[in-house]
Amino acid sequence: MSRGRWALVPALCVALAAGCTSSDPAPVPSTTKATTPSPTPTPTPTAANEVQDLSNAELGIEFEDVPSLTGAEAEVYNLLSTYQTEYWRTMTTNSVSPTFSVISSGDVQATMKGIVKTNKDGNITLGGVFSTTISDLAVDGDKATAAICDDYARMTVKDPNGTYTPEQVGYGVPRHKDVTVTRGTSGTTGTSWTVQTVKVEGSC
Amino acid sequence: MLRAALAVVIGVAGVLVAVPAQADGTPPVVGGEGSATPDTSGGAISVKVTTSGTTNGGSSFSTTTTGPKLQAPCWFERGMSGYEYYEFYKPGGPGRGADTIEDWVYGGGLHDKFEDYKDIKDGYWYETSCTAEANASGYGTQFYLDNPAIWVGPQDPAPVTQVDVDPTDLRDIALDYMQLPVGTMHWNPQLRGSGATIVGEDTWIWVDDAPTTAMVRAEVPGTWARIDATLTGLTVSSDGANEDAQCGGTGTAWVSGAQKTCSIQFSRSTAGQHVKQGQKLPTWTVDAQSQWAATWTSSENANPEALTVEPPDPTTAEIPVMEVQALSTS
Repeated sequence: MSRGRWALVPALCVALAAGCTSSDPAPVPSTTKATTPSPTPTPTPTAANEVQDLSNAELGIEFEDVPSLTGAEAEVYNLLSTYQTEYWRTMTTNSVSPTFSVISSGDVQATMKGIVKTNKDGNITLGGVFSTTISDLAVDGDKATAAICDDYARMTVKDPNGTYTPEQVGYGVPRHKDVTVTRGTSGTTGTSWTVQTVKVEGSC
Repeated sequence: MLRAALAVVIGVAGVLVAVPAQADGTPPVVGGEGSATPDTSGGAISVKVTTSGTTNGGSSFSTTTTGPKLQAPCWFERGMSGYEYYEFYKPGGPGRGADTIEDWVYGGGLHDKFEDYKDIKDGYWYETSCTAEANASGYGTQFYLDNPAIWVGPQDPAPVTQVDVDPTDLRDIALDYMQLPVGTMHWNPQLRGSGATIVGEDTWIWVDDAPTTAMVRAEVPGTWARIDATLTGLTVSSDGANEDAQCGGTGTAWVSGAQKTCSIQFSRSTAGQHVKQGQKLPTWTVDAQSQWAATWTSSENANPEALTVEPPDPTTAEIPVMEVQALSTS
């Protein structure tokens, strides 16, 4: 067996991203047709500290009230929106997204495994649209908290016996959850924030 | 009864489309955050407890039991196949696009040489997973740094989860889960028919198939604790006797001419006692409690250390006791 390695690469300056000067030459595209599979393109850093709206019509997730944040709050928001995206992907594919091993604790991963097990055991298929709002972000050093409101009103539910409304399966009322996040030095993600705990309590 | 018929509707393009009908039975339990039981089986390690020994009859015994589950703070969890991982994280794949993930990819987060395994569907990536507590303490961070993802091909053994456990905890588990045979108590005299013994007379006690040596081992991968014990004697007691009997061994079976090594004297008959369930006559309960001398060793200390052990369950018998009237003649 071989072992994966964590490797850091030096920062690249591409195009006119923040911190680059306009005198930097643009990369020259290759005109030679490749006869062998192209190597994986070198990834580039994202625009730093800006909120990203991950609403995805194909996946069926909508982020509501996306705020304008910067700095650590933007990093935490982006982590949580990634978390929500992968949560919905897990729910609709009955397969734990591998991204959870990158962005969350083992406890959260265990929760996702439990969700998949429950739905697979019941031959349940979920789909439709998942609407979510991330709010009340608070960052204190290497710790952060947030509140998330999950609305399953447009979720579709199906099992071998037929279809059900969200109300019939107990998902008719939006669900509130509190999230704790910590920042470590592992480099687990580029920003090293990790979702530690998710507690669903009450409605919103 | 649920209706299994499909509802036929007209689709947008005017095509007849069959869709599942609204179910009218009990709705299923849908797994979601807050409504599914977390599955930590990947990090749970069962303690294996093995008990063995010999009896006074010369036979041996051995049992293996599953002890409690210990939760490892961190472990390796099987992830996607080589093919699945590549398809998910390749440029433009469903796992890409979020800034959080792109930053991670930029920082070298993707598994080393993952492209080499892109066509393999029966080999898997094993990735570290830690509890929230482990992450909060920093242990998870260090575990991740020390244990990058491992590629396990179709013929390779999966990594074994290890858990740091104090051998004294395993020793205590060994004691809790120890299973020793109890043996069978015999006595003499026994009046023909009733099996009763006699008030005021020495009643020989002995136990057949009693364990005289025992070894108990509790282990998880990488760590074990073992107890070695030898029987030192029996304490025989009963509410019908004024004094307990301390016996040096398991007693000696009565045969004509044998030496008595364990006996008890009943001071009261069982007349007037109620008949216990399963008995035909009133009886006194007699307990033969074994005592043991024990030491223990572990994967961290091969030098035997004395160990005080609580005695296991006693060997028990229900013995009727009668008074025999002496005849006097003149």
